[in-house]
Amino acid sequence: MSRDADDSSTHESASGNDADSGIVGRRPNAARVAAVLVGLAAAALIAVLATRDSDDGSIRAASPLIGELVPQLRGELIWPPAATGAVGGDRPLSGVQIGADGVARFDIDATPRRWVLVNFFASWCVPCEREHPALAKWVERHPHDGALVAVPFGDRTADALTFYERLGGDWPVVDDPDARWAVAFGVLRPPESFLVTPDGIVAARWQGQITADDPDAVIAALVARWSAADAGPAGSTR
Amino acid sequence: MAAVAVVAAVVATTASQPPATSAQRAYELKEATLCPVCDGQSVLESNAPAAAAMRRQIDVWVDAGRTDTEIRAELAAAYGNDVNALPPGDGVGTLVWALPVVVFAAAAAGLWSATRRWRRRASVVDGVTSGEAEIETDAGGASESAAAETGRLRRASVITVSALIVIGAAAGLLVARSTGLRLPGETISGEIDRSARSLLVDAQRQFAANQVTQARATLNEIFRIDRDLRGALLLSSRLHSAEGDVLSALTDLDRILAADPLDTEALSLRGWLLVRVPDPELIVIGIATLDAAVALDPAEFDPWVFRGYAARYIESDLAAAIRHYLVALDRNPPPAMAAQLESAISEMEAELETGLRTTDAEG
Repeated sequence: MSRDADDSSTHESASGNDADSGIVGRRPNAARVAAVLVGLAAAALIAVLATRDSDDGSIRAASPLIGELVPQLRGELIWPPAATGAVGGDRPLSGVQIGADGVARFDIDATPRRWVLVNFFASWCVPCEREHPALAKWVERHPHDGALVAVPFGDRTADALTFYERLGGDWPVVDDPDARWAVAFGVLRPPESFLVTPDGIVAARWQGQITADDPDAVIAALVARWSAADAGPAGSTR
Repeated sequence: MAAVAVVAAVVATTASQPPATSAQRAYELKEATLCPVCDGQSVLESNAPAAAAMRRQIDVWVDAGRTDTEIRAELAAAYGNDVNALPPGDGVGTLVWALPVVVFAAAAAGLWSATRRWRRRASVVDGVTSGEAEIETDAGGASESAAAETGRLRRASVITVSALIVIGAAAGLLVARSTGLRLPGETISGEIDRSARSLLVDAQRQFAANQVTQARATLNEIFRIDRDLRGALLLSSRLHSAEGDVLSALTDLDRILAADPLDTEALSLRGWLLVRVPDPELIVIGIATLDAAVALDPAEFDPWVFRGYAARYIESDLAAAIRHYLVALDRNPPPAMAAQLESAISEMEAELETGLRTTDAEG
């Protein structure tokens, strides 16, 4: 019985070998062609990966929010300390107001005639730290027609505060303990920035580290387009 | 009978058991939401910060009593429709919902007609075995009537099957409509798309384009949704004041100040309205209101301009007016306003100097 089985299996494998050798014998090029194709594909992949730009710059990213009304970003400030004690300090912050309860709050709807740059960051994110001087530079460039607001993403409030205590920053940081704003803006990973027009429409989104020139290029292009259309943003109502 | 089965199936799929607890609802939503930064993982499974943020927010929304449809629409509005693990309820996505129902209906119909046929054949065979004698005598007639019967049956079953498929397709579409994701643009309520805030953008554009009537109509529409929207009240106040209706303008501002007594924009606008009313008592209140606005050191230039105007034309305190105008200039107003302020400042400086000279001469 077992011998029978053995016999039959040997028989089968032998006939299988015959069949294989038959195929190879009939089409000797098939395997070689396949190998060459695979090799070429691998070489192409390596070439693409080797010549591609490395990923440290910002990317103008798509977002369902672009062209839409910005989410009404508002909330209590965790930074700057001056704003939590008295409004302003060295420089009053647009959109920041002390409520009757003495708590400083930011409201993106209370930034008239200003471009708003919303920056999501995390204390654990290295590009965020590298980006920080660029944000300061943008704020310095736009003391009167721009407002920057930062929101911690995937971070503890205490760590976000330490990050700002270490690096400084002359702009409000809005607490986001329930990730409400991170989700409202569809943030994927920090740093991420959104530019909002003076009348509250999301104009651009960047994933990754930005420079001060990135938002300014968009602002310049939009202002040029609006003046060409002879219809400015509805921000200035007086 | 089959129709009842189809309806039952539809009801079973659409009115699937509501989750017992809100935690269970949140769990199911997280399971049905794809993590936007990881491949093929749901928000429930992923460790990415973005997924953690979405989990947190889904919990908040569920606790706040938002419906599943609303939550899915909110997520799709921010992350795109791809985060939804449930396929959309229209377009090609309909097939995903409709096909199972259609297939079920077709299967039920097929089964039904098959059993009919088997039963028919069985009865024919019964007839054959029981009446052997009859066959011998009346074979031709029996087979003829049997053939007619089969034809009638076939026609009937074709009609039934096609009717069932139509019902199945309709039911499938129904399921797709009610279960599938509703995209941001096609919410049932439409509230997400035409929120008070988005209407406000329209109203502001209309006001800027001097379309006063349209702006007022849009504002009325906003107030029907949200009577206390700050920006709308501000704009309404400006509109009333442009039309010369100071009282209505003040009423709007008081509404803002009732919610936040330290709202600098409302304070400065209120003071500005009051100082231009020809009533000494109101002017005093107006100046006090502007002082309150300026004391808050706002980032915008408007209150400083208003306060400077009051100092110049009402109090005739040119030095104070210059001081306020300089702060306004520091707030970088638009070029036209800046030019006006600069010329006003130099005028007042000249006035002050001649004033000083006359006092010197007199002294």
